[in-house]
Amino acid sequence: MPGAVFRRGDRVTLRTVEHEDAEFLQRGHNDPDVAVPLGVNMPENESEAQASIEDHEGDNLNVSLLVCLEDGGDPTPIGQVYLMDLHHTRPELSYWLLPEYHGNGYGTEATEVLVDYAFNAHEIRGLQAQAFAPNDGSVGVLENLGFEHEGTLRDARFRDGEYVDVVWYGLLREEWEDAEVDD
Amino acid sequence: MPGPVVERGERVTFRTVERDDTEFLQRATTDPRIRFPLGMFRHRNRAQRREQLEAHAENDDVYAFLVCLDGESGSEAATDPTGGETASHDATAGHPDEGETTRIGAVNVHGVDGDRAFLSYWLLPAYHGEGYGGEAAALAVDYTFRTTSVHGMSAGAYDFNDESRGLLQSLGFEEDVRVRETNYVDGAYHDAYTYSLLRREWAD
Repeated sequence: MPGAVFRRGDRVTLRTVEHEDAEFLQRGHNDPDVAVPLGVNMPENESEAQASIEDHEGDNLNVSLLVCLEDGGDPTPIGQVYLMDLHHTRPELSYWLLPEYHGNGYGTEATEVLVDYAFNAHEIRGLQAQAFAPNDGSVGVLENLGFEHEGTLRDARFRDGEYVDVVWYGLLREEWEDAEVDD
Repeated sequence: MPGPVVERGERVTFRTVERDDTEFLQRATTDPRIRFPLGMFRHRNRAQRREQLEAHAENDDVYAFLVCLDGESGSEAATDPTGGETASHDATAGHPDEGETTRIGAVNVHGVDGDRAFLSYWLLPAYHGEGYGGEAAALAVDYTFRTTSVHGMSAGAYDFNDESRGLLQSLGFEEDVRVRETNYVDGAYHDAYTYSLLRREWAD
């Protein structure tokens, strides 16, 4: 079960990843509807999932949190958000939700909470994110949050039997601040 | 001194990087005219550079070459009574003697075991403006597509590096992404451009 609430949105919470969440993460990392768009193309067993959780303990450069729904009882994990390389000028973020929770705006909400945390807690110049083209869901999340399309890496990755483009997005601090004012 | 010739262009040769080239290569991690455009923001001492050399130049996933001018920029022919053929074949076969070759820079291609290779290059400032960089980069691109099965090659250049951006475009690389303000370099945030050339474009 996920740990303490770290940040809170209107409908979702971001909670710490606990050892018992290995099974949940493993499910996401193996489900082709999640893993293929994420660029994960190797199977992961439970002990690998466990090891990767333990590897991140004490890691101050990467932040991993579970996206959860709260209904008064135990939280229900529905996905994961991730901030990578916090020592970089523009750290990278990524996110996934289990397929049955797509289409409800949870991805945008969870990512917005993560973006706010990143800019508020860390003196970073900006954030960046990548997605395979076409990945309308993922690109939609980024565009909802004001990310700018900075370009497209042609034929960048092999997936699903062919080379696909990777779209590249960036959000600079002042663009994030402007978007905050608009809210 | 660099090792034997691996590949030969019209004017430049690619020679293996040897461990006693550390001091030469260290210039790419000290001279700001070289290290800022390369994105090497921290200077390195000889021991650190030597470690980098062993990690990169001696890694099977990387092609690492010294860009050299042989025989005082092609004066081999003049010193060889047979007309140069013998001299250049000897140079290919063995380690060069002092004075036989001049190191002017380096070319690296990372990721040659994968489906995408990453090209980088630098020349000592004294050798800029002679077309050596373009010749070396073109040679590295051809060599990589000929000797590996990579699907494409990528390269990066900062916004302040017009020379390198022009060079990549002249080789047929296309600008894919402008990553805004991605590094703090020499007093300001700078954009980094990512370029790529796919095998099918190279073949044309």
